[in-house]
Amino acid sequence: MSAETTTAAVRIDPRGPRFGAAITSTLLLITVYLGLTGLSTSGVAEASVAERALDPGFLLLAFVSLTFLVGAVAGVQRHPYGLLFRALVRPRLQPPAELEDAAPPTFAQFVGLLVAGTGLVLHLTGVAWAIPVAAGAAFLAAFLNAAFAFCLGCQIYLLLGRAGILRTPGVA
Amino acid sequence: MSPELALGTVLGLLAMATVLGAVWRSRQGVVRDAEPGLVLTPETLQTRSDFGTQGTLVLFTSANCAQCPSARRLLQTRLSDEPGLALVEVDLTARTDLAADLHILQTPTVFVLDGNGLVLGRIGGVPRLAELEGLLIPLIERIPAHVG
Repeated sequence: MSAETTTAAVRIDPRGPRFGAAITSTLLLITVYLGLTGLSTSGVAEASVAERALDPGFLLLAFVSLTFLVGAVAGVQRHPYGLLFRALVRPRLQPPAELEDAAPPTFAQFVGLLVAGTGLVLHLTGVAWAIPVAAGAAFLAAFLNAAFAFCLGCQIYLLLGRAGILRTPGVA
Repeated sequence: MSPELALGTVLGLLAMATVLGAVWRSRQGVVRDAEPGLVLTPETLQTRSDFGTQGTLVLFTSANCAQCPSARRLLQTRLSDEPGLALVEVDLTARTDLAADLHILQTPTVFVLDGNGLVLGRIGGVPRLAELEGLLIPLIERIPAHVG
């Protein structure tokens, strides 16, 4: 993680990730609806794996997870919604007041992948409510980012440390 | 689940997220009281930077913090003509023990210290200028008119 901050940082228009987060949060809200009305809340445990995998909520969450994967692995500057933003939206806007480091939104894509991916795996193994709960949690972060410029990387790192997950040895 | 109930749940989630976001944003950048009597030194923060003679702003950052650069720029600009005040930056990425001890849950977080290292107040998020000024005024007034 520290390597990301010490290497030459990729600078991006901060509005790009927020544009992407708006699309993602919309898709995730639809996923929550599909999850609530689909297999996830009615008999997923009795369904076959193939039936679980063809559930509409599962399919849409799988698509969103795929975009998270691209963002997390290739970097948010190569995210498909980022390319869409640069091609369609940015030419119509004023230049950004300032550029920002691509590492924090890339980190957020990784967290999104983790949450959504957990929901997908649990659903495939027959756990009820996995799709709407995972999609709802990911929606919250994406929506707060799009609407309120909430930055997951600013909040979650220290929370993990607080929970003892990342606690580093103290030197007084 | 029926489509009506599912739709209601989705709209409820959207409403909850909106309220949560509004509350979160209203608390960003405003001054909160620090633990009474809390004193920080370069030693406790493990920094080689010197504290200011009249006061110090400690900026806590971390990796993956999108708003830390703008907080840094804001503080640097504000302190550029305040020779008695110092800006000290502490990266909490590998210091989660310190973050836990100081109850820091987000970056950027700014602690405003007087000349003795006593914490006068803290700000979570990028400081709002008016809030920051409120903490700086007593420090600036204490700066002697002459130098040396």
